[in-house]
Formats: sequence, structure tokens, C-alpha cells
Amino acid sequence: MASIWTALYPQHSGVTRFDDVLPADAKTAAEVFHDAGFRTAGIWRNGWVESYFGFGQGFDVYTRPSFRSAPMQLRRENRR
Amino acid sequence: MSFGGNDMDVVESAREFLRVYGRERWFLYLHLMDVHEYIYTPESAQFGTAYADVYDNAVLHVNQVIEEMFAQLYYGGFLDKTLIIVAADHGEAFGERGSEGHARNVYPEVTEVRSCSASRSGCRRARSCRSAR
Repeated sequence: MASIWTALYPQHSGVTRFDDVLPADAKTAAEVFHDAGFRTAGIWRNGWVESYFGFGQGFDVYTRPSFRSAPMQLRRENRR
Repeated sequence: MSFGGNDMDVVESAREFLRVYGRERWFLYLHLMDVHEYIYTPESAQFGTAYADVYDNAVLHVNQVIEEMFAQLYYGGFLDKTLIIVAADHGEAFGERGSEGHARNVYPEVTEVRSCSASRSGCRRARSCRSAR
């Protein structure tokens, strides 16, 4: 996933093992879209891409799904 | 590692995102897992019970999940102006070279996966690509 998001080979992204963390200075597609003014959201069920591993970079909302309900971040924003 | 829920939950959350933010410019990433977990429904099953058959049943099931996502885009009025990319981050071994599953080696059955992109003009290309992780 690190290479898919950054277009870098593992030796350049720094992610060569399953538990390596994508560095904060890595430029992901989500960051490019975010910087271009897009509202960005990631909804995932694979724990290996959770924010801890650096894959939340560039996403306004990055969350596990909730069954028939909005992600918590959206619900908080909706209440404003 | 537990993944929780199922892929229709992901589509449901995506639908809610589109309801709230769909009129803005948006980028939406959905990471589905039902194929990874060999999940399928009686309605989607068309193959048998052999190891690879179960996986194929899960692929058919996720086809239906993706179809539902397309339906959400269509009925929301987004489909004509949305670029959709469907990709996998790894393949799966079914006994090749004595291996099953993935993340154990980097032979082609695990590293070569399909990706497809589609826009209002239809599916432009489908090709094999190599997954690095």
C-alpha cells in the first residue's frame, strides 16, 4: 500500500516490512488531492492501513465504517 | 488482526459521505476486505467448496458490493463525473510452489494483481500491474 499511495519503491518509501510506518514526509495521493482543495475520505477495514501506519496522511476523514451510520467524524461535523 | 464488519458497511459509510460532501470536490478511498477474508453470501456463490472456489465466490460477492457502490454513485448523480479506480494490493496463492495465501513470498501469483479505471466513457483500460506491498 505504501508504494501504491506514494509511487515509490519500498527502498525509497522506507516501508519494507509489514509493520513499518510510512514517514510523515512521504507525499501521498490523498495529500495531493487535499492540497488541491478536495474533501478527502478513507474508509477501511484493514488494520494494516490504519493511521498508526501513516496511511491517514491527507485525509479529512479516515475511519473504519460504521454499520448504517455515519463515521464519527462526520457526525461531529454535522452537529456544527 | 480483526477487520470487523463487512464491505457493505464500507459502502454504507461512503453513501453517507457522498450525502454530506458529494456536491464538493471529493476524493474517496474505500478499502474492501471481504475477498481477503473469503466472505460471500449464498446469493453470490456460484462455485464449489474447493479452496480456490471459495475465494472465487468471495470475488463474485465483492463484485456485487462494487455494483452497489456504482448504484450509489449513479442514483446520487455522481457517476458521470467520477473517475473510478479498482485495484488490489496483493494476489493470492492456491498451492503454487507449495504456498497458500499471501505475504509469504513475492512470486507472481501474489505480486501480480489487476487494476481497472473507469470514467463516463466506460472502462478505459484493464491491465496487470505489480504490487510492491
